[in-house]
Amino acid sequence: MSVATGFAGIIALFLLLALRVPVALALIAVPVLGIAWLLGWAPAIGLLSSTPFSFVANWTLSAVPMFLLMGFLAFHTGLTGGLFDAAKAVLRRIPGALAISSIFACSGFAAVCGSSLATAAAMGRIAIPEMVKSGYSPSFATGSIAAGGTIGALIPPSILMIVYGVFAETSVIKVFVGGITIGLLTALAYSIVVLLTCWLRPDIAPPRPLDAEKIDRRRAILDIWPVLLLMLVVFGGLFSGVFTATEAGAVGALGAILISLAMRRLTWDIFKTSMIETLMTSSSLFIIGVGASMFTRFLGLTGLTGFISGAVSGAGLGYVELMLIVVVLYLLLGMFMEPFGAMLVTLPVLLPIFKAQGIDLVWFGVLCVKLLEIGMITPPVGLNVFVIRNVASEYATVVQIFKGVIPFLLADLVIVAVMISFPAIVLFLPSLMN
Amino acid sequence: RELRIAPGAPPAHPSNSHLYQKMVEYLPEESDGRLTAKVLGPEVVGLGQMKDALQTQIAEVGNLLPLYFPADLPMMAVTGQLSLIGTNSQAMGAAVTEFIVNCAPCQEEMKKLGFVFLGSGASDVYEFMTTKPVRTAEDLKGLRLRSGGAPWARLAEHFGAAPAQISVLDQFEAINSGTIDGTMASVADMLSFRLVEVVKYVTPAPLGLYHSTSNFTVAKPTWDSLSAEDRAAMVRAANRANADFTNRWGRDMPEEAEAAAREAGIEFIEADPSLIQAIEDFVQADIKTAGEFSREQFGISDAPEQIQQFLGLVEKWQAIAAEVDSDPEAMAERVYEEVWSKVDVSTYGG
Amino acid sequence: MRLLYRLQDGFLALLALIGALAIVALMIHVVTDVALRNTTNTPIPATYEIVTNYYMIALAFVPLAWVERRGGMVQVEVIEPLLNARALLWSDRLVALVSTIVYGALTWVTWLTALKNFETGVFVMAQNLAFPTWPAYFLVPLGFGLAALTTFIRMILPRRDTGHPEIAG
Ligand code: NA
Ligand code: NA
Repeated sequence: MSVATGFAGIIALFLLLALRVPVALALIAVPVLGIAWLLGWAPAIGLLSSTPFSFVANWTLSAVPMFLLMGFLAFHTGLTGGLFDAAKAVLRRIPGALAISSIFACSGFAAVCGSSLATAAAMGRIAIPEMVKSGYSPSFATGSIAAGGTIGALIPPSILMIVYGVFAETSVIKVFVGGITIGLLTALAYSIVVLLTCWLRPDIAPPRPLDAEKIDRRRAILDIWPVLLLMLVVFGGLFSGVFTATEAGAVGALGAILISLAMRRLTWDIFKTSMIETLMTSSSLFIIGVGASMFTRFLGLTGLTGFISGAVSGAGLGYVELMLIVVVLYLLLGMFMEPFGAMLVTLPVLLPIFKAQGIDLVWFGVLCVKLLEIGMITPPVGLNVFVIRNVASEYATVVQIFKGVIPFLLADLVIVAVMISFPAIVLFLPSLMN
Repeated sequence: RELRIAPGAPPAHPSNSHLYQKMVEYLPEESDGRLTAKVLGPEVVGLGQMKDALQTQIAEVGNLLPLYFPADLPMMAVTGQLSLIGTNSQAMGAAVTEFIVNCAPCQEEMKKLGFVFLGSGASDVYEFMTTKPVRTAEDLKGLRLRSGGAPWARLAEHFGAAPAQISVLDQFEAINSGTIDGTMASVADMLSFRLVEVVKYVTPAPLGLYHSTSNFTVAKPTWDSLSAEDRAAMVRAANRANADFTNRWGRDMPEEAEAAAREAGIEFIEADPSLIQAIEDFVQADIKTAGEFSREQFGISDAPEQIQQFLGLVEKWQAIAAEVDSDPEAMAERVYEEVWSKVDVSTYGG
Repeated sequence: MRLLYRLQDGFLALLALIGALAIVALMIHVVTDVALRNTTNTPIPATYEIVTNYYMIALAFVPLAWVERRGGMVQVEVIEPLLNARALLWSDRLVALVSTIVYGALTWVTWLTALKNFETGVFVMAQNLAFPTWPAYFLVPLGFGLAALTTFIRMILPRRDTGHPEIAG
């Protein structure tokens, strides 16, 4: 009965989205009506009145506007332009060099940033215009960074992994170390996607940057020091314990302001534009977050999520069947739910099964975060795609970005298959720690 | 009838595993199957949303932490100001329960929110968990320590340490990278928040414990809809679960966590007697501060008198807990005898 | 009508300014807190509470109407390519109607919450400091209310001049 309401809610969500209702408002309207139908108006109003404030008043989330501001400032003042020019100039003979450098830049950014959203947002503003300028199709460029952003939660620090470690009562540091391998493997797989695309579809991914000839190599290489300085400040401060990963965003934003001021590159107009973009992106993103959190609460109340994850606990499955079902489960939930909610509803069901089967919980932590991150780029609710839509609105629509993501999603599925077939790949580095 | 009950915490936390799951087990037992319960996870109702969730009936029974809502529950926040005085978990859980059931202003503020109180629980005694050894008062000077609330902040400041407010999710990284030097908390956090991977030293000391809980907070419309018989069944089920919870949170889990910490090579330091003495002196002096603080910040004019009342109950229950060796079943029996058997459920919470 | 638009845009720019100030304040506050903690071991009291309850709330909710006006709300454009100009206009109106209802409902319920918290004088404990948070609760209905007004105006006076936010500001 209530499970049926959950299904009805999902259908209603699809319908509203197709009718062009903004994602955030569709995600808010459906759970309110669904809960009113299920439990009456008072609980529905309770959900509506309490979620906006309690979702947004969140310390960890405060890193998002800060990293956004840092990325936007760095882009508009050209602090990062030098980096891309250098990459284009130095790597001009490697096909797809710019897209590949951007994906590895995401991995580098991931090492200071705990969230996949902030990684996608900051890197999106920096890299997408450069990629489009060099001849990549907007769909491919935006898709690659939406996917590249997911590396943000795979390479430590990672809030998702900390929550997993706490939940599964397993070593956070080992999950972190396992995450490094899979984060880098993801970057590698995405690079292969870029290479293949360059080879098969030169019309959407040019083998060589169209504007590479114009670049002065020596100047370009000299021009990367400001961004190196910024990285030094953020990395140095984070790893020496001067500030936490959440605070790193604020330090990075102020650092970008000070460096670009010192270089006389920061004008009032640039500052204003960066602020406007930061505000636009954070505000619209947080409202989507409010909706995603309400939808998650709704699915939890209907018992649909429990029903779906309960299907996994069905009688004695072998390792392969179990893993197949787990993957399908996360892909399904990841379509609609935000990653923390999806983790919270699945782990209570899955962990006892895994413990009984002797499955390594460090390994599953990495797999779980990887699967949840895939949910960030799958339709219809793909938070990374929405943030990219906002930072690169002049280039692509949501549908085009989802299309651009497809080849990277396929690569993700290959990685998941590899992780399941060869758990040792994940566990090799953590096992050295004993 | 199936009740929607919300622990606000994940399955591994005692308030889920040994409080709410026990309620699921005890409620049908005590009510001859008339009442059952369904647990809503933290993804549906979190601790910060508990007040709203109960008032709007998303949940019908919930784990409410009064310190999250000090403006709504000032009198209950006063007992929170006295967190440093606790030395025995079962005694503190029982003392808070008896105090709140019988304190008129406490009942008044619960009534104003539309809630009914069915007992409290407590953690184990807090310890210093640090990356630098703490043996003497001198060692505390200049340390940055995470503090979970006002009393511990006062204590840290008294000894020249800097209390830091760090979110629980950030604390792992913050200790790992040296942003803070440690925390004053239950040793259970070694496992609950994985501090076992980043902390190097543990110094047990009389740092008090966490006892500001309203374990089973029943929404008024739900309570009103129950017959006196069903209410009595709920009280009995809650009372049993409360003792189980405190036993898990205050005894079993800390023991497991301590074993895990020792296995991980964390050094347990015996504090210098002078430090223990200095902390005990501070805790005694802080009772007066807590009274004045409550009077000023929470506007409770008779806070010092209420505190004396509470201290009397603490003494009473410490004796009882010592007598039964803090055995959860025996404690549940004694609390029922001393507190709940004297409550008329047909008028209580009305 | 043109005057109405100009008034509206001027007012919305003010909302954006408030949001931008919250972002700048968040940045400076956190960096100062980090600096003081590392130099004098005395962090700014209630930083955590101010950031979460005030800056975050202000930057997320206050500029909503401005975000709406600039077409910044994310939509999924599956059927958009299939619609002609006329159908698109009607679809815009329908979307504006749904938006107005949702924002209106949000305004109403968060306003009631704000009033309740005002009456109680809601505060949180920032270590030893009782720090009032009730004023922040009023920012939420303010943001939703103005967003409702904006989508309502768009429903009765549709204009398709800003389908997507032009970035140049
Ligand atoms: Na990261
Ligand atoms: Na998704």
